[in-house]
Amino acid sequence: MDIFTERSKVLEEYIKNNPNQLVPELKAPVLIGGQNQYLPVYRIPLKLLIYNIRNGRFSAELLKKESDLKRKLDPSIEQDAKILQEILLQQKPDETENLMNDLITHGQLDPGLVTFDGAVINANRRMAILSKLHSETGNDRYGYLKAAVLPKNINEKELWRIEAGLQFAKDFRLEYGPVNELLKLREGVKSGLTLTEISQSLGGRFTINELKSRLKVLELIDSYLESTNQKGQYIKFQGQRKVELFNSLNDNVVEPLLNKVSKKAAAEVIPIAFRLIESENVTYLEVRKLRGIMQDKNAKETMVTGFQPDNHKESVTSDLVDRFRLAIEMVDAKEEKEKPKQLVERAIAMIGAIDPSNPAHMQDKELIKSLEELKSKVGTLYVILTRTKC
Amino acid sequence: MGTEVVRISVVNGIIQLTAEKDSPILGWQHRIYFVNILGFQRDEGTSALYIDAGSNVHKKLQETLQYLREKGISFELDERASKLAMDVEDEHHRFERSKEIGSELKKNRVATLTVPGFKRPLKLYQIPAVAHLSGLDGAANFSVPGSGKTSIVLAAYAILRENHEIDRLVVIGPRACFMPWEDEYEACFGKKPNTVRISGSKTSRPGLFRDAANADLVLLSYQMAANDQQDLEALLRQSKAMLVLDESHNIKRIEGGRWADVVLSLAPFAKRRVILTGTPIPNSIQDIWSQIAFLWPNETILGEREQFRYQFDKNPTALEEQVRRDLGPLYWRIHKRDLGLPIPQFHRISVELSPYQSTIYRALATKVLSDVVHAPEDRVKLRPWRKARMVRLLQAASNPSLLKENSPEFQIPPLEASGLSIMEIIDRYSSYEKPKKLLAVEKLVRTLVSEKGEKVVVWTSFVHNIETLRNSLADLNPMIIHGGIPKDDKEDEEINRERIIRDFKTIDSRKLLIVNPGACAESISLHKICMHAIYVDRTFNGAHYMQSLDRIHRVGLGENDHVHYWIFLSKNTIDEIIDSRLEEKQNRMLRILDEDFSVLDLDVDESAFSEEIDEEKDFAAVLTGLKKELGQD
Repeated sequence: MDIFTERSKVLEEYIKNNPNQLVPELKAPVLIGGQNQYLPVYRIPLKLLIYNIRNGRFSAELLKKESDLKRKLDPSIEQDAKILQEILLQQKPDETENLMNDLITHGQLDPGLVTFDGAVINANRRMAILSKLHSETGNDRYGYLKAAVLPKNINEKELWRIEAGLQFAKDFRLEYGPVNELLKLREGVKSGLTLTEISQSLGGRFTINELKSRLKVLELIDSYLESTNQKGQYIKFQGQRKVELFNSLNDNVVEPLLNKVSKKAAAEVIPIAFRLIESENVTYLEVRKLRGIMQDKNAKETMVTGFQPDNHKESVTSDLVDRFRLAIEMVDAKEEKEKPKQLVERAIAMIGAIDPSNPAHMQDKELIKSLEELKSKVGTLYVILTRTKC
Repeated sequence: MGTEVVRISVVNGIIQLTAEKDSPILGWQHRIYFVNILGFQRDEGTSALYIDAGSNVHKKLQETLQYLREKGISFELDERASKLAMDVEDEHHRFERSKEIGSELKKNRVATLTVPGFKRPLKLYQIPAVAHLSGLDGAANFSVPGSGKTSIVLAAYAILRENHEIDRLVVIGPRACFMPWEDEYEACFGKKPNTVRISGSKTSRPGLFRDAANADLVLLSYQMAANDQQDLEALLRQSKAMLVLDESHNIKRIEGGRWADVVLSLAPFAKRRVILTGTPIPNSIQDIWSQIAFLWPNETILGEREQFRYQFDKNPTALEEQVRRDLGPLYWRIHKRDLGLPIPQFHRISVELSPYQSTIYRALATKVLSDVVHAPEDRVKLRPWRKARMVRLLQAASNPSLLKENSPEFQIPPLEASGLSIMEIIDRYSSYEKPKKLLAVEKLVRTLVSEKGEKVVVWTSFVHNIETLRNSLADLNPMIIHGGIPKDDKEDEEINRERIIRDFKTIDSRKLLIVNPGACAESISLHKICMHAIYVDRTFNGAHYMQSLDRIHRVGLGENDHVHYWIFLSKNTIDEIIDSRLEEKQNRMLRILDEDFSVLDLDVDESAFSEEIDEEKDFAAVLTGLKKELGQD
């Protein structure tokens, strides 16, 4: 953070020349270098401030926008600042409205935090609302953000710590969504912090192993997006449910295969899992079954036969889902091999579900072939079991 | 399109893969392998992938190249990557070559060998071992103790030095091995070595490392290697060293540990690598993984660590088979039968418990059985819980007086037997009686020492027993060694283990040595002068026991030297369970290493009552045994 921009000089001058803008009743507590510091708070004109685009809380939305526009956004350009403002306002419309009402009624009670060159660390949404109010009403009271200015000597790592410390103090996942949480953690690593430092900064919210696993989940999501030509579109993952699929894929499938079977098996299962996830027709509990399937030769073969990793056609995907379900049945059945009676009863129940009056089944060659196989298998089994009894 | 390639560059341990933008050559499926499997990162903005592999750079590069080759993807290496790839290739080539040589040497044993500057004639069975060790770039020698592993290494060193392949020996081992290495060097080359022991204070050691740059033989302990990793790495980098891990089972924990991590990261800097131990797998086949990883750091001979563990959990027997097959060419083992040693005689002497002792033992046994239902479920707590119970039973079977003592050997506090009616008996035990077993041991010692004039070594796991025996056999002027006795001149000039052993071996009137395995089982030879070992008690620790046996049964014995092991067992007690479990453990190890009875060197933490892997089985055996003893089965 030692680049001295024009904005930083202007901000510094402003604070120096406007002692009357100090808000004496407010102080901003910040943990810097392990020490709690209470920084003075000023009323700072919005035009001296910029949105902090690296702010993890809206990474997914930002990356989506950038990908749509096919360019990076620059918060110091007015046009881009407007776009960022919109992203912030739309992220959580309900809360934004509450916050807006609050700001209109009571004014800003909670001070924000900005870097020495005016990037808003904490209070981006408040700034977006104030901006909106200011341009809509022209009322000067909305033209300022009450904020403390961080010292110049804060580096990237320290900045991440301060930011993350503030954001994770609330439930980050609930507040900003699961994928933004992952992106925020990765940003910490990129700022140069070790996993131990990150874990400590977040008050032990994540153990080192949990952090490792979180980062791996994000890598899987990256690979998935790449495989579906949606690179960087994290916005697709804002629902907890979808991230949960990847958590299961990583923690219950890829990692165990990697550690207990082989790199090859782990590499092989990922594209299959991606197509299954893409089908939007599998649950995270089903995803977990992939591990057992990969370790069962027959089940695996059933599942991967004819698998085309790059074919995203619906029919191909639904075929894969069917074969996946069949493979699950095979693995489950094996687990129940000591209970043959239950297995047979289940088979009878399933066969009973076939509607013989459905004209679509008549003369269905594939179906008839399978029936013949079934007949022969049942016959053989019957003969063997009854003979042994004699 | 045919010119599309992946470019591979390496800078400061960072491997980077780049392809032309929008080139399909590194498609998403391949990128999955690099990113999600090997741990590469995507470079934002470009399609490049990179990984900070640090000291693992050889291995990561190797995995990268292997994948690209398998998938038929063309690649191009920059200068540094190409150099590393050559190193990796070269290492792989040397590994393959070493395997071939190893197999060949096992099939056709070398019968004669010229060792430049060697004064000591090699024994016939040592010659092929020297050929093996000097022929392979990374070799293991698992020969039984007393077969002259040190001489074998020194002979290989002499050959390789003559060929300018190496210029010094760096030995990491327990401190007790320093003196034997120096003595053997002198005996083999007929002159004192230019040697440096890296030990002492932090401030004095940098000077020692400077001296080491000119030394023939550098000795340091595992702990010191861990403390001075960087200096040691520098020494290995600037010289052509043969790095020897003596008693290499010290790095046996598969989960790694400070010592193992350090030697594994030092391994790539040594010109040649050797591991020496007679007990490569003291407890389970898992013990071998780290040792082999040290020998060939870039080859995953036994698979990845986690996979190896998993296979062990799934099917240990199949894994043993596989290990034996995969390691075959890489290790040499001189078996006990190769040494032409006389067959030792085992005498198992069963002794009834003394009356009060029997009451105490049965009370404790009943309590252990009734406590089992309350055993902690948490594994971390369960281990010490089990250990404490096994130690209690062992103490009661050996000498109930031990129960009221703090046990420094196993870090167990005195028995707190509130609610046990026998507490009073325990408190005053020594005033009621002396355990019959101790009396029987004393009697045998007197017969052997006083009547027959034999030298005798007595083994017991408990320091208190050592002291008790010293007092009751005071007239025989016994010498003792346990954890509390200083190790060498550096620690105490008057009384130290090296000196006691020297006195026992050289002074005729000093005929009795009473020791515990934790302090005395490694690197000492008592054969030639002592033919009798008496075991008062033993623990489930197989390594200690096997190692202790070989103190008196090793090379140098003549056909008519009769070695006797006298094993005292308290009847119907944990002693008998331990006896059968130790035999099982021994057999298991011998099976893996291709038959034969063999034993020895190990320095295990004294607090280790037995290793974790076997603990459960040990305890299960105890419970079964107790039920039988108490007639509850």
